[in-house]
Amino acid sequence: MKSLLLKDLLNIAHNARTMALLLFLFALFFPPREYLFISALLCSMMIVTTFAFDDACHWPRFALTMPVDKRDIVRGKFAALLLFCTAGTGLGLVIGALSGLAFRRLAPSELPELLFLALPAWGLALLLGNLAIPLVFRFGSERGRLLLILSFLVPAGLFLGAYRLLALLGVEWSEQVVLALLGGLSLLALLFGLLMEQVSVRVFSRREV
Amino acid sequence: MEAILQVEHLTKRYPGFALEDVSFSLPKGTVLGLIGENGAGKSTTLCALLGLIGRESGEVRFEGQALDGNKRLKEGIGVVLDGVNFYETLTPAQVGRICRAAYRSWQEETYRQYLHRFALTPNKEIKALSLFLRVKLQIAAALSHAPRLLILDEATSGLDPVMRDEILEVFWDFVQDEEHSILLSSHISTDLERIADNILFLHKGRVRFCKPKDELLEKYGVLRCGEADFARIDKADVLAWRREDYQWSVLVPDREAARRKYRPAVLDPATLDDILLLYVKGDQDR
Repeated sequence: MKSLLLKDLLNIAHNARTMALLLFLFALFFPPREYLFISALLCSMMIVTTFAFDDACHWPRFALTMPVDKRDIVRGKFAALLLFCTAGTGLGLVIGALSGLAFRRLAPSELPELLFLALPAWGLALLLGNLAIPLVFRFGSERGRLLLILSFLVPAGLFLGAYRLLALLGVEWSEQVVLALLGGLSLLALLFGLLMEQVSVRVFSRREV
Repeated sequence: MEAILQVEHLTKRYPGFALEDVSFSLPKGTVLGLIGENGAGKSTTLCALLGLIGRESGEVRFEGQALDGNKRLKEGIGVVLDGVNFYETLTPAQVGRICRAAYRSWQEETYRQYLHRFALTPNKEIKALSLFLRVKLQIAAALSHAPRLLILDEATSGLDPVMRDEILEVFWDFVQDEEHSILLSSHISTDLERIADNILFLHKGRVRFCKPKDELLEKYGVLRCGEADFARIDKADVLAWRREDYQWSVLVPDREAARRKYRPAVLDPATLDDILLLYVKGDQDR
């Protein structure tokens, strides 16, 4: 699995300059809190790009001639996703904080809050990436990307609808509940990742490379 | 001779095509060439035996052990598929790092020597390499983890004769070790005539024969005759025949016997292309 992870990192490193430029530009325009989420999500979506690279050179077919099996290939993708999400959140936190302080969009006293928000940003990015991997294994990188947007928008829309409905019914969201939900998102993302790994193994084991 | 690879009853069915009951054995120290028309099942055979595609039935044993589900056994098998399988922005040096992480038996010094021998610049991106150099990179990677078996699927297709000659020399060097073997599929029959010890002929997903190359080239012949002479030929003496513009071409398994029996018919030694063409395009009695 180490070789698979290394291959993804070396492949994606070629895009690092473009991604760095994008993150730098976004830091000029977005406030630190939003920027943190954008950075984490952008980096998590690099996992779909790694699939596109693999498809371009028929990598999975060759990889299976090496001492790896389909389960290793799936695990390699989830490991890469964890790294991308962590890197994206870390960068979002550092660049977001620095740009926020520089452009006076963030007071030093708000830094602990930004630090706390890193957890749900990481969780959300991981959740989305976890959803992306089985979709791309099943439908390929191009169709998978489109389906991913849909499959992210639908639950997000349902969640927002439920939130508004509860608000209309007079249900108040206390700060504690919101904090617990945000914090729980990361745990949920990790559990969801374990489930999606199993799903991906099943999907990929049925697919011919 | 002890077999390094044994394939038994390999069967894989697709809508409109089936690889049926393919069995063969590859002895140590030998080269087995797979020939057959496009779509005969050469790549399907290689993919099925390597476990890249599922199969309905069949067993593959490498050095006496079942290959399925035994990923560590793949350490001993070097594979070169058609085209380069590393993304174009990687460099040979990075390919080496990836392979080193994959194979316990990776030999960095051997890989470096192959890069040098093949004139591959370690830090040049794959997209900047010619087709020839890309093939060489795949071969360097396949040979640098101490494989005992090399499996090549149309590895030299698209290369000119001079380039192919250089690649064949590498394969020739590899197989000088009596523990090493090569299984290669190629539609370039002259390459197989140079390097293969045995030829396995696939036609429409079935094995038509698996014979020593020397037997095919030294004993098989193509008898060329007119309509009247063709009518006199005992079909039990021939393998396949085909009517061409002004003559009949008849494939015989023993050209000296045919020469004596059907004097003064013209008898030429059969090339692998002749055999392939007559089996695929011609008619057979059985």
